Amino acid sequence: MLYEKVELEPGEEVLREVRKHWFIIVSELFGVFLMLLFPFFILFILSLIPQLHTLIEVDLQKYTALITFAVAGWSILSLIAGFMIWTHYYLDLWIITDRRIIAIDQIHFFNRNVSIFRLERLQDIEVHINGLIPTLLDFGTLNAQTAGHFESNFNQKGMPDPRKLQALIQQAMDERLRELQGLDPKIHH
Amino acid sequence: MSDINQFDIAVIPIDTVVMLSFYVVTGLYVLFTAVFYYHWKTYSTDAKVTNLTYLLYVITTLPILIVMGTLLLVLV
Repeated sequence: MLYEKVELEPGEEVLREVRKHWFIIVSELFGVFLMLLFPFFILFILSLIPQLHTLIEVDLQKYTALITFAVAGWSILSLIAGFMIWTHYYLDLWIITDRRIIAIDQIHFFNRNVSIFRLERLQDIEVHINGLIPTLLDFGTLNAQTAGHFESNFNQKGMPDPRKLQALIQQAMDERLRELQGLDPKIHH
Repeated sequence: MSDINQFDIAVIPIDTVVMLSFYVVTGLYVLFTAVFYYHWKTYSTDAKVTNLTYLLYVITTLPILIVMGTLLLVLV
């Protein structure tokens, strides 16, 4: 499992695990669903036009087994595409701890980026919610800027409830800075 | 009436096409299953979701592959 590989520091606490908004996966899987229905749609169209059968001189009923075989092959490939999308969605993850943000970006099966950003190095967290659907369903892009010149800034699209996440990271950042300055935040609460 | 059991240009028997496509789909399926299993086993954070995904994968894809195999016996 992933946590065995990430290796949390002693005493490090996971505050939240965040994946992209459900709308992202639903919209992608809807494409696969349409792909799955495509051969049935073609067959439906062919059955609606009886003249077409005489035109191409093919009796569809004669080739039921062959058509079923082709549809089954198409369905398997569509389902594989669906499971690939689900895998990329589920394994694409942000782990927010009380010390750092671990951003795991599963781009393809063999293309995976794992970035770790320490909270004390973060300077600014920005939220962008752009468009009608993201506004209605409350998801958007989270952009974090780090203090280091050589460290890259990072952003993640399709994050659910981005303002709440921004507040959570900001709070964790403040507490971490207080902790590093020798003031235990738990004493003050 | 033309026979679709044969392609006009290359004259490849339909049996060969069916068998070849079955092998290609099965090969892709086996390869994908291995990669899929490895990724979920290695990178998942929740065992329950992982097992549910495996189960859903098997119950949706395997019967279709079995249907394909059965039809292959009928067609070839």
